[in-house]
Amino acid sequence: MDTSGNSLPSGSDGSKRKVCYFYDSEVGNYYYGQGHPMKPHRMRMTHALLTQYGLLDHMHVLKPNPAREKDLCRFHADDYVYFLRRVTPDSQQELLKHLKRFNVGEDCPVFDGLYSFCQTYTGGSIGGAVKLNHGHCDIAINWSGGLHHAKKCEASGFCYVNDIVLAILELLKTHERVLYVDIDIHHGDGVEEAFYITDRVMTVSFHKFGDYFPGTGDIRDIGYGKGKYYALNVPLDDGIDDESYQSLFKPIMSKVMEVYRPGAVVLQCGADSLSGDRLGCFNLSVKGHAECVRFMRSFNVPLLLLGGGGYTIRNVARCWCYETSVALGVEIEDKMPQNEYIDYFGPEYTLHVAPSNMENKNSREMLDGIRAKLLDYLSKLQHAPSVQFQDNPPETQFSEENEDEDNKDEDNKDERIVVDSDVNLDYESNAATGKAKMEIVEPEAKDQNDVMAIDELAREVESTVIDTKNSKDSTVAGEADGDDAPVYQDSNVAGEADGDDAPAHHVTEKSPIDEMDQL
Amino acid sequence: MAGWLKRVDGSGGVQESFITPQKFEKAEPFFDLESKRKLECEFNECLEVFLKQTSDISCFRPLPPVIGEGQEVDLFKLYIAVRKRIECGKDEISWSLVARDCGFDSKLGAALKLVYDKYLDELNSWVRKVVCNIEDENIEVRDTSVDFSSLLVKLESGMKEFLSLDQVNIEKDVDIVKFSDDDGKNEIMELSVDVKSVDPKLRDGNRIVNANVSKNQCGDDRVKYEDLVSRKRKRGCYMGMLNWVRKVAKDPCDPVIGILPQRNTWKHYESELEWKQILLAREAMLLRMNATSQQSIWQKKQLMHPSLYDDQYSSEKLRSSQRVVFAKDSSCNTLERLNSESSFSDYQGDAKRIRVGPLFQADLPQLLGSNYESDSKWLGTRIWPLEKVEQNKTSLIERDPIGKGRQESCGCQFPGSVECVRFHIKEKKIKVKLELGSAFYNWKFDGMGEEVALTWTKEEEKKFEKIVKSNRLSSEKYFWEELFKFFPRKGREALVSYYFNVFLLQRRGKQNRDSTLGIESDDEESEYGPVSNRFGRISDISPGSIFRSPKKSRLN
Repeated sequence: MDTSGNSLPSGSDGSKRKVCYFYDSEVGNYYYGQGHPMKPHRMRMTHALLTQYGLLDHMHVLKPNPAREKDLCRFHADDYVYFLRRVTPDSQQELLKHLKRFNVGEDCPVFDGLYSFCQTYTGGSIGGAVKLNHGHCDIAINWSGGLHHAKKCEASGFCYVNDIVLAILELLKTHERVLYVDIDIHHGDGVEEAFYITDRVMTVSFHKFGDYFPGTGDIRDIGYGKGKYYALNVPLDDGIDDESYQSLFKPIMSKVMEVYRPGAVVLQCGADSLSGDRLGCFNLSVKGHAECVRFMRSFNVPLLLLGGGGYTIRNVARCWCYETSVALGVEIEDKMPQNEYIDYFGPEYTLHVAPSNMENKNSREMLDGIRAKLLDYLSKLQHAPSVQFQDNPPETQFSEENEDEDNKDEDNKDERIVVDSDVNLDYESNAATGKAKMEIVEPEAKDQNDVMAIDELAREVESTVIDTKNSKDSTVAGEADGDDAPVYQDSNVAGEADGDDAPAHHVTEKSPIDEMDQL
Repeated sequence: MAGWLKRVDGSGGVQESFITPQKFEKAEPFFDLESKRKLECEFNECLEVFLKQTSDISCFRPLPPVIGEGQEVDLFKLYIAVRKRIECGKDEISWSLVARDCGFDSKLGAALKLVYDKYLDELNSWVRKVVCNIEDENIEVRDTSVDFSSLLVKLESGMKEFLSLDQVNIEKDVDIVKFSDDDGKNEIMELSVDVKSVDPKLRDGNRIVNANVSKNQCGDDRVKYEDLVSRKRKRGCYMGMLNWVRKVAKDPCDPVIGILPQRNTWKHYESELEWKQILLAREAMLLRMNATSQQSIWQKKQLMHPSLYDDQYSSEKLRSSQRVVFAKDSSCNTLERLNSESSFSDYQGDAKRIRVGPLFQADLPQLLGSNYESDSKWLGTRIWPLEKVEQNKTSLIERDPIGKGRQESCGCQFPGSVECVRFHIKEKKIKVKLELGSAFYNWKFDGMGEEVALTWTKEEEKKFEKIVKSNRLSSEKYFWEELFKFFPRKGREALVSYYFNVFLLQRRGKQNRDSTLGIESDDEESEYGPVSNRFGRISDISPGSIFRSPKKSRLN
């Protein structure tokens, strides 16, 4: 495990998060059709595996209530939702015209229970967002969600309703900025499109690019208007392995977290980026895939984990089961416990399987180029004078009270980032040795010492923030070059190949200096 | 008002007036043979320059031109003969007479007309305009910048002198030409009206043409020419551009063509460059033709990417030049993309773009902060942990540590056999049932795994297998239709459940234990027909389908 953590010390808060997990027992019985690679059955397999590993014991498990038509219409067009609601395999011939219009039919077939399937998985994702908003949990999981291709007015790539967009919309009610990260092998086009022109949602997608569905996701697509630089695309080529993947994921996400400071993070964990996927062409191991979860979790920002693609279903179940354990901060054994679906996992019957020996077409040079380019975009975002993270909640009317609340919120975020020290989160050594009986970490049960520490650090952060403001004012002109980065200049992980320096680390290091400067 | 004027006098005869004050004063009363030769020299000089200037943009014009059976045409003679007639105001020139003037058979008149059109017509109009302008504006003829103009002016003055003295020899069909400077008394018509009154819109639209003309002209007169260029001339000016297009079409990768610079830098380039001319021309043409209709549609629906509006070019207009870029850029990889800035035109060939407009983006909610409320239904139904009452019951049970895996060994007679595995699954299930309490049923653990088969009879199971396997060979068959037909009472859900929980699982189990079978995995279609037949028909996978993946040829 590397030390590029922004993680909490694994001793106290580091390994524990309060996790909510949404599961509907019906979901496994939805069936896209004969030979269709999307199999909701994989969620049932995941659930069985989780249960037999004893992981459910440590979570709140909730059955989602279905989203209603009006909920879906918060993003989707009325006529499209109306269509989804009434179309059935029997009635689809009469609706031929609409099928075409809404791109339903080929990739996105009409199957029995289509609408209730959409309601179910969307209910889970919005439910997860609501839970996070209320602070009921630190991490919410809905493996049946993550259908990132669905557009406002049309279905696409097995996706009908974009539960991610709806969940983010819910998160935006309490968070000024939400970060969306997509590690599905396909570009997260539906979510990117929905938030392409806003800076309140930043989207970062890692995907195979070039002659591949859906065709969007060029590195040069970076958002538009107010949203410029708030959409990042990381185009990758066939056969990328864990190491190459993380050599981009970590430095980029560190920088994003540092610069954007989201109030909540949504991570789409499409498992088709795993080695041996039926539709995919990457070569990630389950551990490499889960490393993304581990890394995003380490920032200790409210996290919504969603499913997505994944068409070799035994690997999907492996992956999401393991990622659930990562979310919980417990280690699970490689030898799978006996479970209803154990034969699906043969002949290895293990959680982890070795990736293939396929060629990694991502050259070092190419990866370096991509990283440099994206960090360059991020530096522009950081120095853009129009971006005011700390002071002005954009375009919303606040009472003073709310503003205070908002600032508090900001401080909290800062704390989170700063408090996360660079201590290596060594999950293996920290694996719980005994089944903590029914232990549900209550949100209010925070360690007093931690709170103290947070207060202390928060003061430092405050000074940092002030300094940022000042520097911003003084560097409004000519900062496009980005060489005169005000505060985080030195923490600029950009391009530095090691990228191991945790930005949060720098914040704490720099703060005293900044204070001195001010004096 | 000076210029080339046409005067209608009382007698009804048409007279041509050339008013060239400076030159007129200088005019020599005698036009001897030597002067004529000198004029001829000047003419040839002019012609040479002119043809040289225009040779690259027009058709091939060998000198001297040859007509009939290899007879060479004296262009000077031809020019004089035609000028004479033009200046007499003849609407139609008798080309047979011109032919005779030039010493050819009158039958060759038509051929001469062609030669004139090809070689001299444009020169003639140029000469006149140059002179006309210079006189209009009283522009000093400057040697440095106006070489060609001065040449033309000189030629024209000489020509006029020659013509005026040569009138004795004019044929009967030619009216008398005289020079007069008292045009004020007569009704005057401007000959250049049709040129000057070019529709201003059209003129804008043909900016390209003007730019091109100015290339061949001298700087100071540029503006003037823009107004005066005849339509015919304009067509000629497209030639270079068209030739370039032709060249590109023939071989887009020709190194001669070079690489187009980035779109956002285009405006910095001079309009002399051929590709730039094409872009300008296309802009002009499409603006005129499409602007009104297309733009209004865009405004309504905003189907296009907004960066279209960043500048005035539309994506459509760039199609051909894009092809050039792509043809050259066939090797364009990520690294190259990295080095270019985002711009809509750069890679629109195959690349799809995110669309912007009210039909695509989400409407963001207000930040509520502490006022946040939510419908309680979103919190879902808590299944786990159990309610306190039940918890007390289940907590008595001894639990495995979290994350515990399989035991290394078991006491079964044949460890790893189907029976052994079934036994341990069952064992584990009973344990889980006790641990989970009501959650066991809430999560439908009773409907997971081979247990599902308990509600099926042996006959039903055999039938199910038979139907699915019969589908194996005829991949166009949709076995679910058959299943629904044979198990009308089971219902779709039960059949799907059996399929995943029992059928596929058992198949995989057999494969796991029998190395000769090979792993077919959980991919039904690997055994039961390709993906494209999944809805019981052979369908083409549309270009936008997620199934289209070059790496996964077996799916296509």
